[in-house]
Amino acid sequence: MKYNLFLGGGGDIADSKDIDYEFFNCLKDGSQILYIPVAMDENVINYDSCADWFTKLLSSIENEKDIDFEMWREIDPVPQVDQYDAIYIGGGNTYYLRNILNETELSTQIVNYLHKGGIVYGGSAGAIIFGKSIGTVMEENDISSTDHSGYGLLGEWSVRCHYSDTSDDFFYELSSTLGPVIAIPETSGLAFNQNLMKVFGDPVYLYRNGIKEKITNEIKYE
Amino acid sequence: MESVPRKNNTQENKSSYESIVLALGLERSKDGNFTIPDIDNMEKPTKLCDDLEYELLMEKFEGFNCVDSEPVTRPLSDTTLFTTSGVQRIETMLNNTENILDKEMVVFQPVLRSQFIDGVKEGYSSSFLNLSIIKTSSEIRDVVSMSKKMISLIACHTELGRNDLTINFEENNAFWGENKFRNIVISFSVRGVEVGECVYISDFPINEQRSVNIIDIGIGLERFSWALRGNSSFYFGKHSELYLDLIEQKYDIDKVAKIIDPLRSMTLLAMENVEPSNKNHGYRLRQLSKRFIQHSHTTKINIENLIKTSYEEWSKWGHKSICNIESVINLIKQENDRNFNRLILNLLQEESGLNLYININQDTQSFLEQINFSVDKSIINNILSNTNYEI
Repeated sequence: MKYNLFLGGGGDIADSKDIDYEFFNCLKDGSQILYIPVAMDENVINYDSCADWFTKLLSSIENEKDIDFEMWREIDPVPQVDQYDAIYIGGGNTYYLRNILNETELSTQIVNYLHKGGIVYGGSAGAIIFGKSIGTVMEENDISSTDHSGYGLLGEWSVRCHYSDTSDDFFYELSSTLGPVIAIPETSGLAFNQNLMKVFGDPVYLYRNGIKEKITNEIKYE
Repeated sequence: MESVPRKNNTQENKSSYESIVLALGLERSKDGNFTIPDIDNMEKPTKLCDDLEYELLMEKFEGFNCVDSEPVTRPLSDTTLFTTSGVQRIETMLNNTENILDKEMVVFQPVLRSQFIDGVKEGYSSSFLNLSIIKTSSEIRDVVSMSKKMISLIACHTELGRNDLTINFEENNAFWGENKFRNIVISFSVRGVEVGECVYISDFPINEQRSVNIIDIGIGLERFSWALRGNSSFYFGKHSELYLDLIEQKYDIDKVAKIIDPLRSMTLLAMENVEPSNKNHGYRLRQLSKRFIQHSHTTKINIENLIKTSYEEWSKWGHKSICNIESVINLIKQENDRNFNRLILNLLQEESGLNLYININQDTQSFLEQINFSVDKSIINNILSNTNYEI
């Protein structure tokens, strides 16, 4: 099955190895990835560290493909995403990420790219923006934004990462106000194509209508 | 001097900043930067310099100890693969449980900043020589005296007019690994080119209980020399001939920088015996080679000369190479061949619509001989005719 949207739960390189492998495995030899780390607060993790982290991520993948990447920082000219074989959007502050992608119209480019079959990976904040609402991470709304809309590429579903099984009450409450919420642990990830979703790594959980549903394999999504 | 207990220092920094402006006798100009009103009364250079003079440096910072540079490649457990500033020496000393109190030292540290690999243009490089002048266990009055020395160092290298030297202040939060602290940053620009900065790191944590104040004057030597030579000169000054040659061939100056920079950075890594690969430091070397091929494949360049000049530049301030110049040249040429093959393979696949499975890890001649079996020769020649490869 060919997937083109990959959502990582926000763990470190070892945690997300299953979904990462799936993403890199679907790239052809000689691929060029556009890496977007702008969700990260540069005062906390600078872009040198981001570039080197991505290098370490690529180094962790056991295959012989010749894969290159370019990193986009806010100070760089806005890239044309269809010149790349894949896009990788890193984690950080979801509201900040959504806003910068909207302001630069990269969001429109990325959504069109996906519709044309382009391959996109989003980790943590980079995953959450693809859901219906980013209000799943209201604690990151430092800028008091009243707009909580994500890109809505997963139908009615919204996304929250870094899930742990001690946070059930929180997720029930979230889903009662936002609609279905998919909870991805750090040790897991999801791959989507037009109407199927497959879990790579530990199970993920779907909270809807007051019910928690465990998902371990492939399902159709709304 | 003892380290001090950790404290909240925002208020102290605010008044510190004002006292530094006062003590340096600065005047705020219309654009918000500061200048020195009595610059005409400052010392004059005894000769015109187009590079930093070591003797003048050590004269201004008398008593400072010049220490050896560290390798530019860092252990995989560090947050960055490469050394990104001279002041990282403090981090190394802490990791080695060495005393970092009461230190006055100078280090000429080659650094590589990964984030700039794709952001290179004239004036901005992925690697440079970072002169770091460090004073630990320092106080605000030391910021004033160190800044005065920095100004004096600039003034004894180049004649400064009324608005030639501008000074800017900034306060920010900084993270160093898991350590968070506040910085006062005083930056110095000569004729519009920022040549260095004096950073006061207050309350830098040594451990959970103790902290120390550190002053780090950081100077990018390539930028310093660029500013001394004036803005009609080239950033990679030692490669002026190549600039002139390529500009004559209608190359944009930023494009020339994109050709020189990756080869300079590759030279630095190859000097430390980094071998190209798909992993970590080696991945970066491979990436630099790809950028070099991307920007240079249509023109003839004397790669050996470029590598030799770069090798001399890195060695000039004492950085030790593990490999001799011949092995550095061989390694880079071999990797450039591989990435030229990759470029040709991609173009051929695009042009012919075929999926070609040919090993790119060989010299270009052997690669082309092999590819002749799979692709029509006219397609190959057509692609090669747009490159610097001699058919």
